[in-house]
Amino acid sequence: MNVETLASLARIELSSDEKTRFAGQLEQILHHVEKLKSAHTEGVEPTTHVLPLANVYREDQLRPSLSNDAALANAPDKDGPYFKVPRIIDPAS
Amino acid sequence: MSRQPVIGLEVHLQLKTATKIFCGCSTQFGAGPNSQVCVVCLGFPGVLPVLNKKVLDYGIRVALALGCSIQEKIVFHRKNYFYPDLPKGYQISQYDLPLGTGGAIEIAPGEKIRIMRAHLEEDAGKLVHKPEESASLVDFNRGGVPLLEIVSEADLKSPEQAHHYLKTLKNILEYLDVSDCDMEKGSLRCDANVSLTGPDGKWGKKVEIKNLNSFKGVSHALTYEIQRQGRLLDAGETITQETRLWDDLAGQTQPMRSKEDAHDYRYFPEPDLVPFSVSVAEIEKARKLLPELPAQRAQRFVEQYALPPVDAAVITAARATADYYEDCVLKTVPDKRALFQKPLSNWILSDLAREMNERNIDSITAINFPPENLVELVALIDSGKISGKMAKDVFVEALKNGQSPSAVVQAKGLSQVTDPGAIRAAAETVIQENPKAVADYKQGKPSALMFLVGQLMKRMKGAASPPVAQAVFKELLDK
Repeated sequence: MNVETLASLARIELSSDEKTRFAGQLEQILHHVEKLKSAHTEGVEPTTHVLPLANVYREDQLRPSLSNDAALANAPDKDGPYFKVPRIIDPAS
Repeated sequence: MSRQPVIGLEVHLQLKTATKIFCGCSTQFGAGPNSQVCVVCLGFPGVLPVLNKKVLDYGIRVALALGCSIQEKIVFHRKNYFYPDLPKGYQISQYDLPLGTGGAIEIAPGEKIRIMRAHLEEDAGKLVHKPEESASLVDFNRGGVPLLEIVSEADLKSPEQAHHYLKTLKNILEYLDVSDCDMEKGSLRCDANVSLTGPDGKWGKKVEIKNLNSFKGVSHALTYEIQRQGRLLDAGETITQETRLWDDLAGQTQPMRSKEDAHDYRYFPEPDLVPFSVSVAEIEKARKLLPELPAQRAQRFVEQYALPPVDAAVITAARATADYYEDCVLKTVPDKRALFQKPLSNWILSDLAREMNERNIDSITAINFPPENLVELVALIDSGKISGKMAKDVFVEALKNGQSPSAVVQAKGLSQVTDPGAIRAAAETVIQENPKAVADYKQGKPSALMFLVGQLMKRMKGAASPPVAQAVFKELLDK
């Protein structure tokens, strides 16, 4: 995976200076993560959370939604009750 | 060896909970744009999603009914991509630890289609296009509505089989009562993956087809795509692995331009949601609470109503049809039930089924002929008021003007002649006009009697009761 691909996936534009700089920084990060591999993890179940917490639910009960005005208050662009975005070019849907 | 289609279907089922999967906003269809949204489903920074317990319960119910095992550990992942209907820049979905895996459904005796997995995820918003302004409008009411994605293995070998699988799956899902299962409203959606095998039997490049929002669309799109791929391969060209959209009006698939770059979703575990686990006891409890499914109901219909197994299977496939049948039996007077249970089923499987087919109706409830009307019609035949043949006309007439069958019989003066005296004169004329048939009858040919009855029916415009007519002929000819 190179810096250009990452930038394109994240929808950001990078100058050639930035590309070089970020490539170096990402290299360091990957190197650091590589180090973690040397930790002894035998018999330890992989986890994505540090807290021993599981099964946190809510019941299927309605809570008030935002008003339409409040929902759209921070929108860069709107049209009546809708958020407005640049045109999507798919032929259908 | 010719090229074989290899097809897998992904079905998205909208679960009918009152609130969204990770927040308390309503899921009600048809509300004003962006009126059922909050900071969670709009993806504001710093908010926390919390799983709706009912979504997990419904998901488990479906997974168990499809024969899947429930995973010991259920984890949500972020699927990262940019699209304006996705406010967070990622969809909360499941990846390597989905809710259920490894199921199968039987779509015909001995014909099993395997289910790879069933996983939970959130729906995206809805885009409305405004070509004249070169803008799109977004309504996030649907964003965060719970979906269960059901992925089949690539076991399907033809558009017909894919259609049959989808129909069977929908029938099971309807029995489970966790979704409206309405393809037109989008509560049941289908994507297809299709490729062709090469001469070596190996699978070719696969194409994903989206936007299949009807059963017919699924068959048509697959047929089209199989032909398109076949033509390309015949011309020595290669298939591009891509996502294509089905255009129902144009009757063709087209490449989807916005998703040109190879899918790289960079899945990673959703840090805002803890893992979930369901105990064996809970799974067993959910299994016990599963409603009667089509196959079990068919078995019961064979035992309880003495229907032939094939008839029972067809009548129980769709929940609405099976409910209609049981409603008919229930509305029949108790001492006639045993007598009526087969004719009621016959009517549903022939005349009502034909009517649904001709008018392209999906559910028997949409037919303007409630169960009490069918019971009445069968009772009219049973009492000898009308013949089976007349009943077919009465049925058509009753459907057309919304009258009850007895009202039609009354209005049209259709009732059958059962008085031998009224039949005798016509029978005598028929005997005079058909000396050959009479001679045949006297030589012991039983078919000759049927011929004479037929001639009599013609003369009396079908109004004579066939058993009475037979008796009259026998009386006149045997003396």
